[in-house]
Amino acid sequence: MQTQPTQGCGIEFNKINMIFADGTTAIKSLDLSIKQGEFVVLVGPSGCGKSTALRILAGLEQATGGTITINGHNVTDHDPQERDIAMIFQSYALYPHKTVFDNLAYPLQVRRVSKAEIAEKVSGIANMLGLTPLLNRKPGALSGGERQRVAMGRAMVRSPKAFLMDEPLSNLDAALRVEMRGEIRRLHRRLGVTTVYVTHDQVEAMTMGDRVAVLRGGDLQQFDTPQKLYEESVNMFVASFIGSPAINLCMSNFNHSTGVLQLADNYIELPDDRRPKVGIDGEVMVGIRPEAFNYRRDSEHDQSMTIVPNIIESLGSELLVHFEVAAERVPIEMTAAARSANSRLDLDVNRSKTARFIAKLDACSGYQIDQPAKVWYSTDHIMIFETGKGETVLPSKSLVAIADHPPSN
Amino acid sequence: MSHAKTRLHINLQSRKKLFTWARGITALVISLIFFAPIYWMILTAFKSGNEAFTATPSLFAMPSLENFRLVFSQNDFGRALSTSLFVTTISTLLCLAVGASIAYPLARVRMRGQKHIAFWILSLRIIPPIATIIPLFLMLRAVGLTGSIWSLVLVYTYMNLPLTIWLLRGFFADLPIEIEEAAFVDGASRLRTFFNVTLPLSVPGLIATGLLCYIFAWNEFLFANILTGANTRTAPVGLTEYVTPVSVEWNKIMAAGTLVVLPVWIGALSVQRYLVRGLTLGAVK
Repeated sequence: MQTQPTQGCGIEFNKINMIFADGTTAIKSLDLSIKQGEFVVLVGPSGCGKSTALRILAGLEQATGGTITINGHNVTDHDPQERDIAMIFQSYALYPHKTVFDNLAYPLQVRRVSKAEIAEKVSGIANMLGLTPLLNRKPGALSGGERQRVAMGRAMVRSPKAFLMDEPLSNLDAALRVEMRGEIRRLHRRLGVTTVYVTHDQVEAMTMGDRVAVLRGGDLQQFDTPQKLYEESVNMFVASFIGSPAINLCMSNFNHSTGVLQLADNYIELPDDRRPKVGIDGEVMVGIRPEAFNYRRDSEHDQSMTIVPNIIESLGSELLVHFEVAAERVPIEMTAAARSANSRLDLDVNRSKTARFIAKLDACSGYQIDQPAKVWYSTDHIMIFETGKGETVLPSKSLVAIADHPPSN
Repeated sequence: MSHAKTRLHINLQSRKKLFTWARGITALVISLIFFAPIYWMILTAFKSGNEAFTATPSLFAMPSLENFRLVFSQNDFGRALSTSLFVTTISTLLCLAVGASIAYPLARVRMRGQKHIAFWILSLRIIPPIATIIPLFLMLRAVGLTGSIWSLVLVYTYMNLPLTIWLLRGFFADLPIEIEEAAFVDGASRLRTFFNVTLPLSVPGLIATGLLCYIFAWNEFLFANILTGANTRTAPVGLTEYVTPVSVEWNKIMAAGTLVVLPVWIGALSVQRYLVRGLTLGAVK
C-alpha cells in the first residue's frame, strides 16, 4: 500500500536556459530550489515557460543550458526513464488500448515487479482513488474526472521521487476542479512527495501551492508563499496576476519631501512607516486590492473615497462594487492583463483619464448603483510601484488584520 | 400564421424525404454500374459451357460448379492461388515490419531534411514498374532468384515499401505524443514504448496499410509474368493461360477470376471498419 508517507526529494533548477530551434527563448536563467516534500506551483500566463520548465525537469525536453538536480544528483543528461519521477499530463495521456488495471500496472510491469505485487499495489491505489469498480474498463469508457484519477493513480503506483503535474485539472468542469484540487492536496499531505504543479490559473496556484513561482516570458518574477505573493508582490506584474478580482491600479503622484500621495482627488499623507524606502518622487503607480476596501471606518487613520457605483455584482456574502476613479490608468503592458479574457484591463489598451476600480464589500453594506457613497481603506494596504519597470517600492501590510477585526455594531 | 408555419414544416419535411430518396437511388445506380462486371463474372463462372455463349445472354443461370472443377483439375489453378497467397502474405508482412521501423523514426525523431527524406521515399513509388523491370530481372538473375517465388516476395516488398512508409509515417505522427511521453516517464524505453504503446494504437493504420499492400501484390501481373516460371506462376498469370491461340475459354476465365477476387473481397470486408478509420486517420497527412 502507498499510504505511508514517502520521502520526497529536493529539486533544483540551476541557471536553466531554453532556446528553441526557431530562436525563441522559452526560459531565461531559471533558478529554483524546491524542498523535499514541498508542493510548488509554477504559474504564469500562456507562453511564460512554465510547461517547458516542467518538461525539462521530466527529461522530455533538453535544456540549452544549466543543470537540474534531483535529490542532490545531477540528472541534466538523464533520460526520463532514469529520473524516477511521475508525470500527470493535461490530456491525461492514458493508454487507450489498456484497461484501467493495465494502465495502473504498466509502470510496475516495466520495472519487472512480480505479478502478485502488482495486483496488490494496483488494488491498493484503486481503493484509495475509488477506481476499483472501473478496473476492467478502458479509458474511453470513463468520464473526465475518472480519467484524471486513473492518471493520478498511474503516477502514484510506484512511489516516485516527485510528481510533476501539467495543468491536470484544466479539462474538468469548474465544480469537479475544486473537488479535485482538494483531493490532490490531501494526497500530497498523505504521501508527502515533492510535487511540481503547472497551471495558468492563479486561484489554483494560490490555493494549492506551499510556494508559488510566478513566471513571465521565461523570467522568474517571484517565488514565495501565496500570502507573500499577495501582499508583498515584487512588481506590478505579480501584483496584478495574483488575486481575483485583480488589484486596482492607477497612476498617481508622490511627493517625497512631504510624504503626500495623491490618489485621484485625495491627498493622503503617508505615515512615516508607510513611506517608500527608495528615494522615489513624482509619478508613481498605486495599487489597492479590492479586498482592502471597507464600507465602514475601522480606525481613525483610515482614508475615505466617495464613489459612484456603476455596476454591483452580488456574490451572496459579498458585493463587487465597480466604480471609476479620476486618475490615469496604468500602461497595460506592465500588468498581467493579457492573462485572461475576462480581465477588466483587457478592454482598455489606451490610457484614459479614469481608472476602473472594484471594491469587494460586505453584502450588508447596501451600496446602490449611481448612489454616491463612501468607501474606506487604510494606508497600510496601499501598494506603490515605480513607473520604470513596475517594481514595488511599497508593499502592502497584511490584509488578514482586517478579516480578524470583529465588526462593530 | 400557425397554419402557414405547419405548411412550411410539412414542405420542408417532404423535401427532406425526397432528397433522401434521390440520394439513395443515385447511390444504387452508381453501385449497380460498378457491380455489373463483377456480377457478370460470377454469373458466367456458374454457367455451363453453352449457356455462356448464347446470343442473348441470360441474367440468371442454373448454378453449376463445372467450371470451377475444370479450373482446378485441368489447369492446376489451385497451385497458382496458393503461390499468390504465399507471396502476397509474406511480402505484406515484410512490408509492414520494415515499413513501420522506417516510418516511426521519420515521424518522431527530429532530424535535418526529414520531410525531404519522406518525400524522396514516396517518389520511388512514382517510377513506373516497367522502367525498373529489366534491371530488376538482371539483378535477380545474377543472384539466381529468377523463377523462384522469393524473387516475387522481394520485388513486391520493394514495390509496396514506399507507400507503406508514407502511410505509416502519417499514422504514427498523428498519435498523441504525450501517450509515448507518459510511457517514457513510466520507465519504458523507446523500443518498449514502440511495441507496447505505439504499435497497438496503430493497429487500424497497420491493417489499412497492410490491406493496400496485399491488394497491390495480389493483383500484380507485370513482375509476376516476367519473373516466375511454370511452377511458380501466380493467379493473375494463371488467368492468361485460358487465352490460347485456338480459343478464349470465357467460362474458365470467369471461374478463375471469381476465385482470384474472393480472398481480397473477404479480406476487405472483414477489416472494413479498420480500413475506413485507418485511411482517414493520419494516413492522408
